Amino acid sequence: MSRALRVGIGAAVALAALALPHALTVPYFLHLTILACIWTVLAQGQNLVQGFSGYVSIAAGGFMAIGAYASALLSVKGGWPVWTSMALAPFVAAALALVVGYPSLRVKGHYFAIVTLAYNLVIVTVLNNYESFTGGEAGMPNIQRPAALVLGGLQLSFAGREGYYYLVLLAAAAATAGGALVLHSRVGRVLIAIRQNEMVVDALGVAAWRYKLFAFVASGFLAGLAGALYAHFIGFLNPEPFGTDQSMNAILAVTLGGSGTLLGPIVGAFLVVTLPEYLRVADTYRLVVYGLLLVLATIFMPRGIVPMVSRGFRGMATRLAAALRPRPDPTP
Amino acid sequence: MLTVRELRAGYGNVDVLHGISFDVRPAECVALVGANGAGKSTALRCVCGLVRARAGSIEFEGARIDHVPGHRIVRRGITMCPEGRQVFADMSVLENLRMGGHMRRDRDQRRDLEALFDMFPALRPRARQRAGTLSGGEQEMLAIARALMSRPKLCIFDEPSLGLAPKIVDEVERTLARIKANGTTVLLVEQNASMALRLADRAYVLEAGNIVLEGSGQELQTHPEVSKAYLGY
Repeated sequence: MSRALRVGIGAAVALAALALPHALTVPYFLHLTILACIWTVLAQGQNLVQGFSGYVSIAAGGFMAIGAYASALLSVKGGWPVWTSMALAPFVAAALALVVGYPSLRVKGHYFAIVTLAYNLVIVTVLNNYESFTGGEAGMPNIQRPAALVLGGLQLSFAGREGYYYLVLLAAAAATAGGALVLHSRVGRVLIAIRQNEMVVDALGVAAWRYKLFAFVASGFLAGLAGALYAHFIGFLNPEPFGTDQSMNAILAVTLGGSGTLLGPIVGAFLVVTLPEYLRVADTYRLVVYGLLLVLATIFMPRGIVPMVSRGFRGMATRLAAALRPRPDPTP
Repeated sequence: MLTVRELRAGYGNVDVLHGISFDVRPAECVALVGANGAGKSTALRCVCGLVRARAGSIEFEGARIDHVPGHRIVRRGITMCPEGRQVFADMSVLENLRMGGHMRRDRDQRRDLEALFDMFPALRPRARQRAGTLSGGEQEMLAIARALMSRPKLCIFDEPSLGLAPKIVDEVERTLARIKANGTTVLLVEQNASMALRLADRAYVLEAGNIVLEGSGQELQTHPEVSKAYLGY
């Protein structure tokens, strides 16, 4: 694709994203779009570990819970301004990721996945049972939206869905930009090398564990941000949405969309949020159909939707270019 | 330059090396030869810090390195070119080479890249190509070039002839000879004993985790037991 075309498409998508709240007449669709943006943040984080370095972590839901509860507790029980608590929450999740990532990144492959799965279970168990602090399963109500901002005489309110949509859109864009920054840096190159052959990376004099730890902590940070955005959007927290199901959703979003690509997690996040909703037509068979679709997608698009579509486009562009090329005149 | 004394190492309950000693002197090419499972690769991995020694010592330029982590060892000037090439298949040739020089902070990398493309002219037109699409011989050349990107004082080659066509093996041999001629110290591990002994100034023969013979490359080439067991005549 030419550069001009890319910029054009990017600008069109950005405009469409900005205009979306005015186009969507059903509030429920906007609600889903907000969730999808939050899940994009989560998926971009998951992509750093799973997509780039090839380590599958099953702890995204747990770190999301840490961010959600950190922000909710700081603002509701601590009385801090919501903006401050939301800004701090990702750092709390990242700090925990640092502490648990340091020992667990020594194990590889499936073992790493199982260790992280255990963290997720521990986090949910603690949240369920530390009732005096978290409210246990009964949950924490009355989590406020962030206060309105006044920027140059313009009042930005986040109390409504429209305002909050722009906040999560910004977060999703920032998470994607962060992923792009990492991908095109020296760090990204090492992470991708780790995915292909970690032993050689070590043999080349690169301390692979530092880069893995960076990816893991960064993914914890983004999961924490996603959690904070979720908590203040829904307004009520209990541990239920942060179980391993949620971590699986993050993995699915990355795998379905396109592991290791930048657009993949976005596409994947929208799919895992909206697909189960659209499948409500299938009624009680909803989850069965969902599962079937996932199996089919994995069989027919093992590398994800984005790589497949972009390859399709490239093929079309080549054929188009060949068709448009002036042919040599056959007549002498 | 490299002094290994009474090195013992293994995996799990199994001891692979039962106390081996060998030396590599500056600008020398030393070969470790031996059959499958003799412990050649384990010895190399100990030197590179990828496997911990259970007993004994490894010294490089006068300092103990047997408890130094692998990435630090590369910084001291030892680089390994791993068995079976192991290029980063999904990365381009250029990216593979850049990974080789990853821990370097100096500004000469571009010049080194040019020099390596001159040394391996087949790689230059393929700089942007995915390394996985190269032929086996080209991948071996890339792996060698990648190892050289870190400007090693001691470059270790683990079975560079493995799985390559005879014609390509000759090319690998010529390349290693050139690397040695450029002043890089080489430690070579090979099952292809005839090639290793032709290249080596000195060689050690490993059998079941012990060094059973040592001598100059020429001496060993004509040694009756070696020629019978490893050279096939």
